[in-house]
Amino acid sequence: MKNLQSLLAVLIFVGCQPKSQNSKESIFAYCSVGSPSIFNPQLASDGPSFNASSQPLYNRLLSFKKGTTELVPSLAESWTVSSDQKTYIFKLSKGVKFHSGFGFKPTRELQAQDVVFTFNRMLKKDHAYHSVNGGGYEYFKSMEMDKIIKSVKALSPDEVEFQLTKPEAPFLANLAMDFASILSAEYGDYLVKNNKRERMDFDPIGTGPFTFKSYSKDSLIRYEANKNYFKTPPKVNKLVFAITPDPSVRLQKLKKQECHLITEPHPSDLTQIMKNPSLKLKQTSGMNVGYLAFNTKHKDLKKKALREALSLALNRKAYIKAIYLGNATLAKNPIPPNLWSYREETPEWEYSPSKSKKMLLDLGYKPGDLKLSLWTLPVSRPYNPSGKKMGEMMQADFKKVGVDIRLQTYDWPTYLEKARKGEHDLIQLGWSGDNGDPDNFLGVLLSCAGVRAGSNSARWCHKKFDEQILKAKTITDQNQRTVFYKEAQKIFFEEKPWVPLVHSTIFRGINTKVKAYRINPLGTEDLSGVSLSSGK
Amino acid sequence: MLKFLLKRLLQTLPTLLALMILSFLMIRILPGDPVLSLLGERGATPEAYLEMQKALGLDQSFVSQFLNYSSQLFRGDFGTSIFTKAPVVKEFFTQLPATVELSFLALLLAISFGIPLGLFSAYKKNTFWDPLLSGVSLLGYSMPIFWWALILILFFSVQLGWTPVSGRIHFIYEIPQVTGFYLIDSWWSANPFAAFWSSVQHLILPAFVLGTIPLASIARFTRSAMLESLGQDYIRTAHSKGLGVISVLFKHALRNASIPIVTAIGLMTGALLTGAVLTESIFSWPGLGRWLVQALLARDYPVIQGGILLIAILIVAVNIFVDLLYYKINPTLKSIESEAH
Repeated sequence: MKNLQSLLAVLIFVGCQPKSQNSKESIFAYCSVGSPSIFNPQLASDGPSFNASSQPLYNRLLSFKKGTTELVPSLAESWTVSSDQKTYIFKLSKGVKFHSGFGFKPTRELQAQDVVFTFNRMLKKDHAYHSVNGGGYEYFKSMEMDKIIKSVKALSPDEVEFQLTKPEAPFLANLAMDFASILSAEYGDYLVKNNKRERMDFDPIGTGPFTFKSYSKDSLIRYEANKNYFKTPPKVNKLVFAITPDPSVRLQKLKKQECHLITEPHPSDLTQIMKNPSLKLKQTSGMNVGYLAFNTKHKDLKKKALREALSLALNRKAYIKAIYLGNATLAKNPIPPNLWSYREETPEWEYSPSKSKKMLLDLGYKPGDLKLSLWTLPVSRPYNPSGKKMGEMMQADFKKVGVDIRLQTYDWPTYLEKARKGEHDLIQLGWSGDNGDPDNFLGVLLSCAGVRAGSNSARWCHKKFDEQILKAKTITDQNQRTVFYKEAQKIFFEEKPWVPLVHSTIFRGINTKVKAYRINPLGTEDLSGVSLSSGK
Repeated sequence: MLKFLLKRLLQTLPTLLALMILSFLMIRILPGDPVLSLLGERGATPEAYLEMQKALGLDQSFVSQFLNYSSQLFRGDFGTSIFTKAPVVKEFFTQLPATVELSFLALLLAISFGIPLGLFSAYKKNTFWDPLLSGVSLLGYSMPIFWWALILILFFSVQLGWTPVSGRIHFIYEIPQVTGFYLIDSWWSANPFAAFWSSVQHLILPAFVLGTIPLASIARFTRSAMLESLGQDYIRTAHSKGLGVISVLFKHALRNASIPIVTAIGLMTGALLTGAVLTESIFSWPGLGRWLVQALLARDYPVIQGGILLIAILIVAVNIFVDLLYYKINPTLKSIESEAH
């Protein structure tokens, strides 16, 4: 019996220290938060799918410079814009090879017809691939690209032309977004010939830094370095995504070196990472905003003065301390400070319960007269890790000025559905930027079109504000656009359709062996340049 | 026997039909829209929204949606996931081996420790052991799984370094997808023994956590069934015949007490196959429970409808198997049947 115990202990111990099948291989393990829904970013709308597909496997015509939102050439080496800003011509980079795999071996490099194939799949209903695997193209449509792009044409093998229906300043930034990843037309033809069209979105062939190896659903995704990558090839041989939904478990895996990088550690775990000598905490200002929106269609909340009085009651500094543990900055504009056109001149939002109380009395609301519902965010997001806790603090703040708040919440799909219908009075929400363009915040969240789309939860449609953002959308000069966006932020401050709460910091926990990792402020993971130093 | 089997199969048909209708209706009665779930905070113009709704077939009336679903089912098509665009049946069979592997080991642990514990507790009635073991099993029964799993991870994985934190296998081992059971497929990998051992190690903690409550339940069931059995006349007769303790306990008492125990284990198997949501989430175990809950949270209608039905078929199959076992153990069933003849 004793011998059996010893054998078991040895086996467990030996087995716990697995050696790589090939000691020269370097495998980078990333603990991701969720499973990808699909491996074609055109059909995805969630972060885990973009992290697993568009970043390692594909490229786009333009990309964001690492760690920033600056647009840089990628599959397109250069581009020109016509004077009416409705024609864009892109010159493609040379020597871009598609991956091989799933029986497919490319016979040519990237050409304009691949770009045409990619966009026409999303654009044209009669395209051979348009309806394959449901063909929802949610992101493409929510960015209104189906209305913006009139046609896509190959001018020569290395030149492609986009005709737009109207001038659209964020167009270039949109092309750097995940959904605009370029697919292979030759692979498309190959699958049609083999009667396997639906495999296009599950057996990915791209041009990205890694090639797809295998996916064990909800468990592991494996990639191999693309040695033919047209930019600098990856420094690790293999990349593994270990899908780990629970943040506490992700941290334990990082500690045990079962992962080299973890995403979204829990705020209360940050100190543990900092104190551990074999771990490092990386952080950057997130391109996000957390806010409390007033339903401006509500009979009371449509009054600007009431919104102002309510905004004075909120002790936002206390929320940062209690909920973000100090890891966020107070917001004063609806866009984050790391986004161009941020309005520095906006005054700080005042916290004054006495002033709030007085204003409420002046407006005719005696203590207890005003009864409102406040919806608390049911999901944890970087811009609000605990909606319930924040809701309770807000409820206490409003109570101090005599406003009765009923806290309410639903599961996420119901929350979105009811908010879209405008059933809320006050609602907690937030936004993480997609493309580093101010329109992605101001247009999506506060425009009149946003009310129709359901993304403007304040249901605030202000003519002068809308004019500013619509004008800014039609010109490409960034300085001129800044003027319009600053004016829009001024109107926002005066009208107060929301109380902007915070811009939160984004954190990643990494092993000290990890080199050259930079956090992407837009949230997705770019692991193309990471390496692992040898030694313990 | 065959008649018994056929009768049981026929009895399950109304259950499956009722489940099919209920799962279809319930998910649609719940608020929450799959299209909005796909879009998130982003929203879409009403036109784009309608287009997406149409593409998913959700623009049709309840009745026509149900008729489409029924005709699909009769063709053996359980639908396609809204999110992953993969057939529900394919997803089900991808997740099933992980669940079966985990549940089987959890059940094995629960039976191997639960029955002897219950037996011992009953045998040592009115001694210091009985309340002690009953207390331990009550503690196991009321253990909050999430907390219990984290404690075990912290102790065995982080402090002692004996077991891995989560997952099904260490990432350095690449194993081919042959059966989906890692304990089997690992033998096809480049390093079979190490890969097999890694998958065993990854199974230990989740199986122990998942097996905790069934272990405690089996111990309690065994104890009470044994107590009842030990008080019967035939036990007294066996004792007076001069039979040894082991023979009386195992041959006479346990055999007669086994019917309620087997029934309880059968019911537990069904619960283990689908109710491992917490264990699967903490240990990043890609099983059926997590799959179904994710679908529910995202309002992935086809996965919920098809998944519930497929799981129901699985549970029905397990129950029929248990009934057959019951039929084998309980001779009175056979005599009732022959009397009917």
